[in-house]
Amino acid sequence: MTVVALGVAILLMVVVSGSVGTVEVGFADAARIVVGHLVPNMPWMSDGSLTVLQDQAVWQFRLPRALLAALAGAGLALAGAIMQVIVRNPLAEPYLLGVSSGAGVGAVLVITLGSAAVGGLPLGVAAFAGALVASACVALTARHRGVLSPTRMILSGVALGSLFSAITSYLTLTTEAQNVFSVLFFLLGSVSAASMGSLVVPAVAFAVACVVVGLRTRAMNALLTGDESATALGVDVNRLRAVLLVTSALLTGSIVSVSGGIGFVGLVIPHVARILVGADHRRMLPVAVLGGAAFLMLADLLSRTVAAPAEVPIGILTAVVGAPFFLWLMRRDTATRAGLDR
Amino acid sequence: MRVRFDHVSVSLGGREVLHDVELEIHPGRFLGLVGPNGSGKSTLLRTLYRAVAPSSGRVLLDERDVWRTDRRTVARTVSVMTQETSTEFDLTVLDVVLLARVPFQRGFGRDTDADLDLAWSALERVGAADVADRPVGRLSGGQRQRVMLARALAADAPVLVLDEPTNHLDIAFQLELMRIATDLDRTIIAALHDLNLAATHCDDIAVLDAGRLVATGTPTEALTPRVVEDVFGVAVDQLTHPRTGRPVLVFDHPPQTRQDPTDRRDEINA
Repeated sequence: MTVVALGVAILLMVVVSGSVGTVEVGFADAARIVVGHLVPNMPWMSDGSLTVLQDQAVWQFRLPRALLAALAGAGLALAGAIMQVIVRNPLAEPYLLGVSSGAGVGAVLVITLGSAAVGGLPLGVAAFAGALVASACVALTARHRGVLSPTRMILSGVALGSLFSAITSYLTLTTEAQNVFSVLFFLLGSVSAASMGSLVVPAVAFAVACVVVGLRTRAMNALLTGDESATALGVDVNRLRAVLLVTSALLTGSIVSVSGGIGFVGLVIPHVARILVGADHRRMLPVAVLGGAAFLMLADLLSRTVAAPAEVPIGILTAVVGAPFFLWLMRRDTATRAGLDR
Repeated sequence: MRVRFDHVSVSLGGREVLHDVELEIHPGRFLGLVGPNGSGKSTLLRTLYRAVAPSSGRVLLDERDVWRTDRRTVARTVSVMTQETSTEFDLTVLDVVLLARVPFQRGFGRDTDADLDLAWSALERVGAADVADRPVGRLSGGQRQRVMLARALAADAPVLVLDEPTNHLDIAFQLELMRIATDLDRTIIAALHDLNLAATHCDDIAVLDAGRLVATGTPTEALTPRVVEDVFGVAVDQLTHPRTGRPVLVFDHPPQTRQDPTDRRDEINA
């Protein structure tokens, strides 16, 4: 039920996203343009009823950003759910391992010092590299006798995250004023620069992550009840943690490098999913993934419309829209199902 | 299925917590493992369900070495009622019991009817079917123990491990749990704190002291006042149960600290 409703909402928002903006495109035309590009030989693509400008606006600008919003929302929700299981802590989120602060350092280095400073890497690649370096540092410092301890992961993530943020802050403060806007734009997150090409890497990472996680949902359920108990159920806890950790880091890194550090989604959407359908990952993950996609598409629509023609950064809207909604949901009785009454 | 600990030693962090334990549990027998806190009871059990590797020696299920067997196969053979469960994220009682079926399943799919049948009959057996859709974190400690027992039963494995199963339980369910266990046609090994509970329900007893096995045998053979006094550092009298005729152990402070009841009465009066 929830899954079907979310699927319909996502499809509707693709159409609405296609029609909202300065170039006027009706809902029906937006839908026709999207379908026309996907299915060959549709009559309306060549009979002159759609202008080139409309076609460009929908297919090259609005659809990619709607899809990036969906992909980032789905991916961050999935990564958040993974991290919450790995460290078995409801406060965990995709950026726990310093992924966003590491990506921030990479991106800000490029913005402030130019890409020559990081060996000619473009911003996205530098951010991805920063994210992976940060995750690797956290994972290595959290390892003790070959075992990844959740508590050590949280603490080293927080410590190294502060270190990377300090570097980012210093670079931002000492750079010219015109760069500061770009830095903030990246750190708050944005899907406005999306192109079809920029979707490829996060899409592949997301698809791989879905397969990796999909095969391990039962083991993840077992891990919820504790390491010892999961071990007794035949789960190789240490290996499961390592696999999930790498998956989450790659997924989050690939998203952050394209869309910046969009907050809130990865922390809260998994909890929303648990409140709606319970903690079993076989039920909860599909809802979290679709819910994350729908939520970030909605946030993107709002970011384009509430202050049009100016744009509000999506990272601000996720919190402004999401926080009150989540607090309302949390105070309802069904939230006890997700263990939120303790 | 027969369980054998073949000269098992375990070192943790450079400290030897088990030393050369040689112990065999015959098929269908119920062995009670007793010993003071920190004597290595849980560690010995953990070598059986692959949570702690022995530094030397082997753990055998029939003739198969647990540590040379795929961990899913071991999990299908040995079901465990562990001491602690985390409830940070709440699964429902039924979900938790269904986890027993994890080693038998693969992939993303639904639970089969057979899995559900096993889970429900286990829940009914421990008297927790009425709380099946409640979140585990909302249960009392005793109810949670019932659920953990149900999970161990739902695995339907030939070997059952109970790690201090009677923690948090009132006396009625302690007895009920031991009755459920003795009625099972499985090889059972249970770490127990209550010596009388062990003596009245187990077929065999093994006594651990500081990582060494100091006595094995039937309850009467293993739990002699001499052994219990040495291992637990308490004074023991063995009485005979007036109704069943079984031995009952009664404990008191060890001789050097024991106070004569009359002295104590004087203190109170003063």
